Amino acid sequence: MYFVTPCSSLSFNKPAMDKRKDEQEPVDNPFFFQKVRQEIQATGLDVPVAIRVAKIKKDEDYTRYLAAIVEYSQDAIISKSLDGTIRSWNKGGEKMFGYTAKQAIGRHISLIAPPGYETEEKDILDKINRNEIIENYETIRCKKGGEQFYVSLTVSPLKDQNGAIIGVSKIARDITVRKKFEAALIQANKTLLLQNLEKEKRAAELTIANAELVFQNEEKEQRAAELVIANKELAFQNLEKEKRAAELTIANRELIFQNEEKEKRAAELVIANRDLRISGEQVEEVNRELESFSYSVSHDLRAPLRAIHGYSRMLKENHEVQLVPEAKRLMNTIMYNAKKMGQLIDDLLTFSRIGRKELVKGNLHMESIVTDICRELKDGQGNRAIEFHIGGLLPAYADSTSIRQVWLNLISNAIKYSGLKEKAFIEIGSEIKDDEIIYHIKDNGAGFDMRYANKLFGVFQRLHSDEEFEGTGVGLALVQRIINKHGGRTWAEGEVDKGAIFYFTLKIIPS
Amino acid sequence: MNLDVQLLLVEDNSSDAEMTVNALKKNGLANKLLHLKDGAAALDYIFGEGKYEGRRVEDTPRVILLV
Repeated sequence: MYFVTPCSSLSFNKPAMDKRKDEQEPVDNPFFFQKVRQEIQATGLDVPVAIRVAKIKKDEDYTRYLAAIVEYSQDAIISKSLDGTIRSWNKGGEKMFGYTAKQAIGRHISLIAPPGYETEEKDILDKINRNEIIENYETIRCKKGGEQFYVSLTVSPLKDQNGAIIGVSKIARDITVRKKFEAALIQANKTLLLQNLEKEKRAAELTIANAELVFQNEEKEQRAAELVIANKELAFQNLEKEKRAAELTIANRELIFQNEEKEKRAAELVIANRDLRISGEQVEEVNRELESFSYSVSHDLRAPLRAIHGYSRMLKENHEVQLVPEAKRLMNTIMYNAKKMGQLIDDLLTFSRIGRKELVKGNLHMESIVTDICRELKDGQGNRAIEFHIGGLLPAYADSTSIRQVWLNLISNAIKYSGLKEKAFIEIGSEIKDDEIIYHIKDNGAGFDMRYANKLFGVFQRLHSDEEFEGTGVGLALVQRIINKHGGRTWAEGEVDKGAIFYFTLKIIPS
Repeated sequence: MNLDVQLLLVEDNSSDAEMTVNALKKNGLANKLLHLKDGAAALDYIFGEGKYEGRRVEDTPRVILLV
């Protein structure tokens, strides 16, 4: 089929015209014209008439041809008037929108606009009126049942021979499937993007991890190098040790021999120990006997002493008139000595008792103990001038009764031996040194010669005569015995006529 | 023994006993005193037994000195 010229009441818009240009090509072919001429001549008509007849025939064919293309297009091809009334509706339109041509033609185009898109058709018409072309405009339309779907619209004006717009042609293509693919692609892209980010993060981590591994590798290499050196050293040492082992084998042999000797010796020692334990038990037994002996001796000694003192007194009191002064003096001397012996026995008893007494330790407030004793002793001294300086005594963990005895003896001594001074200064204090508390008492009394300091704490040992200062020589021995029982020490410093300082220590209170 | 004993002294040491009696006498307290050597004798006296069988046990001493 050949088309000579387009001869229709309709002229085509530009893209349509472009298409026509392709089809026009054969018209310009000289061979084509020759062929047409031959056909015309075969009809027997004169050429101008024949051409006109052919032209009319071809126009009709061409129009049918175009209509067929339109009618069977997969796309919906719709034409409408400028007010939006649908004028034509092809098969594609029926299939796509569900309305038959009969149902659609004559209705307004808003028939296929979903809710919210009603004004869109008006906008499209406005654009067409402004001679604009709308190509591949993607939007939503709805089917007969209300189902909405994506379409791509290409809208172009329909013009008459004079170029006036008389209507609108609209081609709608269902792009639902493409849209689905697009959505899937967008989603896939998003996922990929996310994955990329993750991978970048991971890559950054791996970079850090790699750097760490490189560092560790270097460390290990260094360590390996060190180990090589250490191994060499060990190998050398092993050799040394082998030598040493050989020496040790010899030494062991010697030791085995010595061990055997020692075992023999140990067996002998076991026997010796058994003997010692037995003698230890015997010593304890003897000690117990001694304690009991000294107690009963002291107790039994008191009876005759009482008689001596009592009978002397009876003689003195009942026969006073018959006694000459010298006899009275002798009687007094007997009584004084008997009394003195009684005192000695009392002190000895106390000393013996302390040895047997169990210590009951507790927290002692030394300051108040010492203050009380000082007050009591001072009260017994009448008007004597005695000045005490008691400086913040530290508390102790010790046996209350015996520690009181210690302070009583030491303070009594300080008062007694400072008796010849116009005013007695007695200073009592304490300090912590290492793990013990050192208590001291200082006086300004008679003092003593340091050469005899070791005799001070012995039983019945005295550095002064009875005429100078009375006493039995048991007081300081008792002090030492009590302190030793507490695990402490006693010592003294002094100078004749310059006073003395007595010290004793006690362990610091356990926390 | 018809002595009406008001004060009973139980003491095994004769010196101590004598000194005690001396001191009591000096203070006019030893008029009706009986000195016994030990606790067994004291019990015999108090309950009218042994050496003191037949003694009127109702007559109890006012004071007993046990040393």
